[in-house]
Amino acid sequence: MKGRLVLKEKILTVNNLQKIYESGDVKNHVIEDFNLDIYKNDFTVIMGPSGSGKSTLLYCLGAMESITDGEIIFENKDISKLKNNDLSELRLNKFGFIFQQIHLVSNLNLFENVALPGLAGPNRTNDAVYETAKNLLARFGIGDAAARLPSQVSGGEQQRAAIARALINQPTIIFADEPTGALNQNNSQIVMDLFSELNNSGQTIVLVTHDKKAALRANRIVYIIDGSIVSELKLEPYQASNLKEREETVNDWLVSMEW
Amino acid sequence: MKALWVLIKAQFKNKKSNYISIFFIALLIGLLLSLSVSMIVNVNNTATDAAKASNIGDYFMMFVVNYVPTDEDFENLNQMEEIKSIRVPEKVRVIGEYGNINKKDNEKISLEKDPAFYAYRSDFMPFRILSEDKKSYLPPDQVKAPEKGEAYVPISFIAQFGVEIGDTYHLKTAEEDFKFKISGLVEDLTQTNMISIGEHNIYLNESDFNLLKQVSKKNPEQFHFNYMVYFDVNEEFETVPMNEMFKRVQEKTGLRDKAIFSGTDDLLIFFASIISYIIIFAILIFIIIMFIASLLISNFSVASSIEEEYKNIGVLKAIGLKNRSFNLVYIFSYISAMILGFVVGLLLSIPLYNMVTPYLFDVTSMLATNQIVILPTLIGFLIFVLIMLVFLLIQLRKIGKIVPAKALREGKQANYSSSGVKIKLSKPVLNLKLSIKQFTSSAKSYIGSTFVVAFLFFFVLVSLSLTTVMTPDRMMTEFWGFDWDLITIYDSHEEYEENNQQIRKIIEEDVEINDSYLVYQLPISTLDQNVGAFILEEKDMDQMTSILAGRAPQDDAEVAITKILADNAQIQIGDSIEVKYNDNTADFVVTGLFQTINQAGQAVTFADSVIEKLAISDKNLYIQEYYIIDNQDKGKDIAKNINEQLPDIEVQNVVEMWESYGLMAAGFDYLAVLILVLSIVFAIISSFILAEKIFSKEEADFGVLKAIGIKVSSIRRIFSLRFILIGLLGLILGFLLFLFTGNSILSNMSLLLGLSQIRVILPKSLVIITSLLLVFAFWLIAHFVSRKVKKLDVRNLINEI
Ligand SMILES: Nc1ncnc2c1ncn2[C@@H]1O[C@H](COP(=O)(O)OP(=O)(O)OP(=O)(O)O)[C@@H](O)[C@H]1O
Ligand SMILES: [Mg+2]
Repeated sequence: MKGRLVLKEKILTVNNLQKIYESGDVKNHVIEDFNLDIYKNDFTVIMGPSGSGKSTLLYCLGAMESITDGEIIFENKDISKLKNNDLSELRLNKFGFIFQQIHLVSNLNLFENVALPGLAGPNRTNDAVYETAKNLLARFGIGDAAARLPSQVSGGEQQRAAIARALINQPTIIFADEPTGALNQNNSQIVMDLFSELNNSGQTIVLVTHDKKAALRANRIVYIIDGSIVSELKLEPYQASNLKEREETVNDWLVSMEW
Repeated sequence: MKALWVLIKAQFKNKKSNYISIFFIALLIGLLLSLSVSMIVNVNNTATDAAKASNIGDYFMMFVVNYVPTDEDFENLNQMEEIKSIRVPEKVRVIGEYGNINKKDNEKISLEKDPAFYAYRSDFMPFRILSEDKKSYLPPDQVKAPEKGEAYVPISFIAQFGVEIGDTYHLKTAEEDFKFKISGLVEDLTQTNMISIGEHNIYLNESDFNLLKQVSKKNPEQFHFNYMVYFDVNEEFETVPMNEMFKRVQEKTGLRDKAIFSGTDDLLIFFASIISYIIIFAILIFIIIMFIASLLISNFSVASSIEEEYKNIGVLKAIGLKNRSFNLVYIFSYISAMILGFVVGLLLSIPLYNMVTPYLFDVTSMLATNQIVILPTLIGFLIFVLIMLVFLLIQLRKIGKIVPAKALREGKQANYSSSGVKIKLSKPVLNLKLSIKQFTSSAKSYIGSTFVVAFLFFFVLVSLSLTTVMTPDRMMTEFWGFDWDLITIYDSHEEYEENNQQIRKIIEEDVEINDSYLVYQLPISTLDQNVGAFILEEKDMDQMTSILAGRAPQDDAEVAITKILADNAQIQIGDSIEVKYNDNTADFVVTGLFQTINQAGQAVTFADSVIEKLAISDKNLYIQEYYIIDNQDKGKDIAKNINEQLPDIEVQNVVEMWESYGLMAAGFDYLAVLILVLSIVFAIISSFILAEKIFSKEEADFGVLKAIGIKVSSIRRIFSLRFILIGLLGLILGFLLFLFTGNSILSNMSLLLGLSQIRVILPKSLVIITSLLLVFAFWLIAHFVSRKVKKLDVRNLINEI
């Protein structure tokens, strides 16, 4: 009950976002006149049918893709107006991004992959970065695999390394696009537990998923069709205990969305 | 079949740059192959035609100065079963006076050898005559002997002395004065710009020639009457090798020591090889690099496109396409790009060849046909295609090994092995470390490119070293054999005594004389041939600057000979050789081997005591005073001053002398520039292709780097830095290659000049500048290629939609 009474702090605001893909003469209006606020400490999940523009939205929010129109306000700045170098800075220090296809740098081992963003910034010493990377890897249960190349570990281990990489610079927001999409059930469970754990300790997360189980972790679910929000569900923060009831709520809601 | 078309079209569309590069390489290969093959074949054909037209037969013989063959000799020759027919033109050779060409504008140019006069007889040996526009030969029915008072000279006189129709040949001796108007240019295989056997041949009207014959009876010392012998071999003996034929002639006629033999085949081979020499060093080698490079490129591009298409191939296999279909797609698309390029290159070679032929005329003094020779070119290209095919098939075996299920699961073939070098990622220079990691973890794919750079740099070095060959200073000390800036030439001792003080004064008006010494010159015979002898005073022996082994001769028992002579006769330092002058013979110990561009390398050097030992008469001796002056460039003016004040004294100066080798020097420079430009163009093309390939292979990784917040400029640096590494490695390899082979390449070229070796001198600053430029260009191209990082959205880069 506590959570609902506290006035939440907006950390990211999307105003009238428009995204058009142009290929030749064909214009594909993927996102049209889109508005959304992301609140601090929230675990926001975005759901919707395939092709509805979820990934596109996430990439736009995460400063990974240029937008056609509108604004995305983060820390009082419209990030859609930022230059290449400032965008890099943002991605490096404020945002963490996790991909469905994982995307680790293929010739660096897991430890190096995790440490790399830490080393790329000017502020921290080598040793401080190594220390954090080691702790993250150990915390995620892949300390033993640290010296191996991505091609030499399992998909679940890769994704955990990718999450560790997203966390190394203590980002303000973590964006994740179907992080369990390429994983089996067991690994999905592990990864989603990690997300919950992070959120419990205050990490803001925006996650796109098709996976109902993953959606249960959210305290807010946004449903998108054709690039617009059609409905929104608010939940209590996730706890492993009251799962049954929570699952029914989400299920009913999704059914009403013709999921 | 339709499915294949779809795949082939997709290949061309998606891998445009691959096929464009293959196309251009095939174009260049077709062009160069066609040019070089055509030159070799055409020149050789023209030489063969010339031999046939002028009826010079299979062999010819020239007799030494003091032997005139007798009727008995001719009878002996005629009776040899090997010999079908002989032709014996008469000639009069003038000793000791070269004569001048008086140009229409009154300029006087002196010839460089003794003249030999013949009667031109169109019924007997109709050497082909150049038409007025110099574009063809006169048709046989228009060929006739020169009129009285006229002369024909070899075509090579155009390039050597700038002769034109209407100039006059003027020969002045103590008693006689001859002037012949030059009314025709004849194609004489023994007298071309590159090869010049014996004397300068001059063809006269029969009555003029008979006049000279009369003179030779009165003054046999200076006007030697003699014969040339040309003969044909009977068919059944056509296969007898040349050396064997010489031996048989010598045995049956006893003409050993009295004649110099030469085979017409020998001449023809010489022509063919001269052109091949030029081409081999300029073009053929280049074709070879191109060939290697195109193999590397196509190999690399096929390999990487299989890597890139890994998943697609898996998918296509999963839906039932056979390995054979993929092979067909790849082979068809690569080979057709090649054939197209080749055809275009072949077509381009036609106008280009027409542009080249005038230069060919300068070099060979023959009008080579300007038709492209297609068949051998085609064969060369087919060999190229076949080798390419083998390499393709080897690469394509990889496709056979792709297991669909695995390919689908992995999505992308792992490009990397673990980096061989252990580098800890850390600040500072994080970018460099990342770059090195990327370089070392896929090192194998750079081996080919490194070798391409190495080869290119090697050729750059060869071409740069060529530019230092033909310089006035090296000309003298290394190639002439004695250093000088000015030479004055006297006919006798009296003339020398009379004039040398005054000449010294004239020179010293303009510059200081740093050094001067006397050199005597005369023809003598040794090792079965006539050679030029240089005689230096014992105190001046340190002026011999081109001794390759041993030392200069010190007394009248010693001689130094050129390395070319020594190699031909298999003489070593310490051996004795017999030297003949008139009727005097003496043995000398060879103390040293030297080289000289003089007499095309057929020369020996004695100490001055030899004059007494062989009783050499002052009359046959040229006395030359060599001067080394303070300012080389003034030599030309000084020579002019001397000429004006003392018109009888012949003066040579280095600058003009050097200019007379202009064609050669310019040839070397052209070659150098050609190789340099081609190398650099090729370096740029291949590094561009390489950079594109590597970039597309690692694009996703760069996308990831961008996604995690690495700056665009850093990513570009990570990408382009390794090209500096490749460049540097290639430079080192290329330099090593040059170190080991550069000397022998230059020395092989030097044989053309009558020299045994040319020391490699690299223009250091130029080498450094070009190296830096190459590396910089490499980096710049890589940097340019990586511009995509800037433009593309991250999502596009990592290809996740
Ligand atoms: N680069 C592009 N060019 C053109 N159209 C694109 C591009 N990327 C995505 N699209 C289109 O935009 C629409 C939204 O794509 P997006 O990837 O955001 O969908 P999604 O909601 O993430 O779907 P899924 O649940 O299947 O991942 C789709 O119709 C897709 O075809
Ligand atoms: Mg998506």
